[in-house]
This record gives sequence, C-alpha cells and structure tokens, in this order.
Amino acid sequence: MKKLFCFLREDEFLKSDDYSIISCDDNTDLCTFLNQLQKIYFSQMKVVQINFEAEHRCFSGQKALYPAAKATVFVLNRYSVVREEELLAELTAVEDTDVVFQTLELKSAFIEKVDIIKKEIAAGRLYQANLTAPLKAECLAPAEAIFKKYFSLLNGQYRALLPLSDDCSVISFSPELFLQKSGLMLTTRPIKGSLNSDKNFEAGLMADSKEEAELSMIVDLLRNDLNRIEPDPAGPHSAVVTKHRAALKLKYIQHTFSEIQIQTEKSLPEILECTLPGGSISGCPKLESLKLISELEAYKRQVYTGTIGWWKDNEFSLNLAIRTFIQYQDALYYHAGCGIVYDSDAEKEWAEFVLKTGKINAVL
Amino acid sequence: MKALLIDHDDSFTYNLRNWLSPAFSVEVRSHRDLDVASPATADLVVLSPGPKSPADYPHVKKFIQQLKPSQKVLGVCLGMQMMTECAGGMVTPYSPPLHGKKSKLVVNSELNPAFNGIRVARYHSLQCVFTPSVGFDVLAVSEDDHKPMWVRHRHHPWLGFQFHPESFMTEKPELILQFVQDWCRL
Repeated sequence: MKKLFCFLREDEFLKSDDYSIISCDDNTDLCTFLNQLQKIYFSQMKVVQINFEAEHRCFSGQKALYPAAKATVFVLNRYSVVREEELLAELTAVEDTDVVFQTLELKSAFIEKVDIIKKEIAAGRLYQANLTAPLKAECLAPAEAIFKKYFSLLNGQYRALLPLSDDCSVISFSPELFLQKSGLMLTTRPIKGSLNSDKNFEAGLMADSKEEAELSMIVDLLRNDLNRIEPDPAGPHSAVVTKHRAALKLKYIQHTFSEIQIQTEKSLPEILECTLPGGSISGCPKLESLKLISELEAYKRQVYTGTIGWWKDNEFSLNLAIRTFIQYQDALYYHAGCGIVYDSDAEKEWAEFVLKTGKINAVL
Repeated sequence: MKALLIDHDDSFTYNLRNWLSPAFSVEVRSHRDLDVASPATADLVVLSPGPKSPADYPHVKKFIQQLKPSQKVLGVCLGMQMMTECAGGMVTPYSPPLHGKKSKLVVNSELNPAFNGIRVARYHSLQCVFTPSVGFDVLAVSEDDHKPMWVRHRHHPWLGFQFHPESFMTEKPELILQFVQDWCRL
C-alpha cells in the first residue's frame, strides 16, 4: 500500500503502509459515521480527514474539483513513529517536480467578492467572512515527491501525506491546530493575521487594529463553539483564552494566533458536531458566513479548510487543512484565502492571497 | 433565577449563556422555536446578538410585544435594536462598522462608578436612534463616539446593551452580571 504519514507530536510523525480506508458516504451523517468507528476501533490508531462541507447542506450548488468522500478514516493496522529526518529518508524524490499553478479565479473576480462581503458587513449581515479560491497545476510527479519537495519549505507543524485512493492524495503542510484533546483538556489555536516573513512583526501585525479585531472576533467565536460542547457551564467547563495574539513565525510567512481551552469528557464526534467547520476559515457569525461563502465561492473547498489528524482512544489532534495540496490524476490543486472584515482593502487582501501562494510557483 | 435565552443564529450565544450562568439557570431556544418557548416561567428573557437587522426578525418583535408587561427583558446588540424598534425608535446603519473592537464606557450618575472607563467589546454596523418619546434612558455611552451602550426603558422593564458583555474583551463581566441580577430582583 502507498505510504501514509501524519503529524503526531512536535517533530514526530506516524508512518503506515498497512491500513484500512473507510469512507463516509453522502447519505450518512458525519457524527453517526464517527460514532460507529469509535465503537469498533476505539483503541486503534486512526488518521482522519474531514471535508469543509461535511456538516452543512448549504454547499450543494457548487462545483467539485475532484471526487472525494465527505470524510475518510484510515484505520492503521500497523504503524511506526518516525522523526523528520527518517521521514524525509523514506520519501523518494524525483527530478521533475516543477509545477506552475494557475488560479481558477481572476483577480478582478476576487476583488469584486471582497467588495460584496464588505457591503454585506455594512448591512449588518455578518462581521467577517473567509474568502478563498483554488489554483491548479499540471503535475505528473508522485505525491510523495511533492510532499518531499515542500516539506521543509512550508514548515507548518501539522504536516501529512494521505493516499485517499489510487489516483487522489492529500499533501498537507498546515501550521494551524484546529482541535487537540489530551486527557480532559481540549485546545484550539486559531490563526488570523498574516505578514511577509521579512517584514516587522510588531509594526506589521501587532500595531494593526484591523488584524487585532480579525483575530479577536474568531477568539469569541471559538469560545462559543467550545462552550457549546458542555451542557453544564459550571466550574472548569467554560472556555478560557490562554493566549492571545502570540507570534507564529514560519519560513515564508508570519502570523498571529490565539489559544482557547476547555475541559470536557466529550468524545470526538460530539465535539466536531459543535465545532465544524473551523471558525477561523468560516467567518462570524458562522452560519451566515457559510451561506455567504456558498453564494460567492464557485468551487467546493472539499479537503481544503476541512481537518486532518490522528485519533486514538479519547485523544486526538486535528489540523485545519490550510496550505494543503490535493493531487487528483495529473492535476495538483492548492487553495488560499483571507479573512475579510469591513476594514479590508481589496488590493491588500489579494496581496495576502498571493503571499499565501508565494512559495508554490503560482502565476497570477 | 431562570433565564430564557433566544438565539438568533449567533456565534456568541453560548458565551452569553456561560456569562449568565453564575446567576441564572439558562434555557437556550432558537428564534425559530418561539412557539415552544416558555417565557412565563422565566425571570429574565434575553435576546441574543446575531446577524442581519431587526427587520429580519418580525416574529421575535411580535414575541417581545406579546410578553406580559412585567416581563424583564435584556437585549444584547441585535436584541437591543429589536427592543428599540418595538418601543418606536429607529435603527439605522452605522459607519464605519465596529466588529471585534473595544471602547471605553462613560457612565451616568445612576450607574456604579466602577463601570466608568471599563473597556467593552463592540460588534455592530447598525445603531439605535433614541428620541425622548422612545422612552429609553441612556446609562452609559462609548467614550470615543458617544453612542448609547447601556440603556433602560422608563416604562417597560427592558434593559439593553449595545456592547457584548459575554466577549473576552469586555472588562468586569461579573460586575455587569451583578447589575443585571440586582435589576432582575427589583
């Protein structure tokens, strides 16, 4: 079987080439699907991939870029834990991995959509919406080679390579933690605010009130989503903001992020029911922003801005699937996006979109 | 005490529930399920913030108008805007919108001076316009743009916050809750 890799802890990865793939069909509710898996494979290590649209029905009108189940779970029959160097040594490089991405959306269309969102914000419909667009490249190199090529360059902590089927693989370099549960402690670390890595963090991000508001909104939204998990809000079962506007510096980009925690005995299916899709890639209020996204974005996001990670017993760690490639047959897809608020300048948001695709050789 | 919290598909409803919960046992109901809500047994009806404008929630405004005259109501953001329209006031666009931003409060002589200067979170692109006939007393305004932030009706037992008491950005949330609790007991 094709090799699968998934982040486990900092600098440690799961590696497996002996697993069973179980997909959630369109007619099965995600929570029911995960509950069934939990019953059968509770103590087995599982790697989970869930699409952005999995829990919501408002996205039925959009085009799909590739065929994909709304959720896929890899039940690992055998796996080992490898460090970064061992992982890289496992991957076969090929010479011809040069790809050129073309955006599937024109700059003018993107800018028009930013202005529509700003009008909707002014009218009171919502406070923030995350606007994204896909890019596509022709690519004949194997997924392993793509994973190897970008592994050090896109150095997000939550990296994974998942062979979804014979002709479809997910290659994720996400720097964002969506949800992690360790013991009773559930943690989320939303990222908002982006800046070129050669610019000054203090002046470019910390001193910017638009960047502060954009993240603060999402912190309140995620507090809400975590608070919703626990029916009785007494004692420690109420969300706490443990970090706000901390720095995340990657090789190609820098961000601000926050951390919110809550204590809960609930399991993954119940937790995801209250939290999917992630607040930082939806908008605020969430339901209204999801509706607006379905009106504005021509393509389904599918794997992009969904979640990927591991799950065993009652513990798990799931990324937010941004900075993620999807290889389908001889096409390679990548997406980027930005949080749009009333203060957003359409040209600057486009520049942020370009920055987020900066290391993948996109012709825009 | 019991609170009935009407949710307008907002993403802050459960923060509001948790903010209220030290003083109230809170029941959350969607604005779509008002026919099964039981305000008669609630000491306080809370109208959540939410997307869009009061004009999009005619059924909630009707629900407010049909409450018993002694029913205490707390409206937050959109909730306060709906109460304003029910009382004959106007809600108009506010530009530029303030979303996820903070302002300091300036309080009148009736409020505890401890509230003076506290930072409160704001999420609104609409504002309430009060004329004297609408019947709201403004207990606090924002320091930077002088907008009504904390209002109380003179005849109906209605309290309104344009700011978000449940936000992590709002200072002294326990003291604000204490005020609501004391007002509820009057």
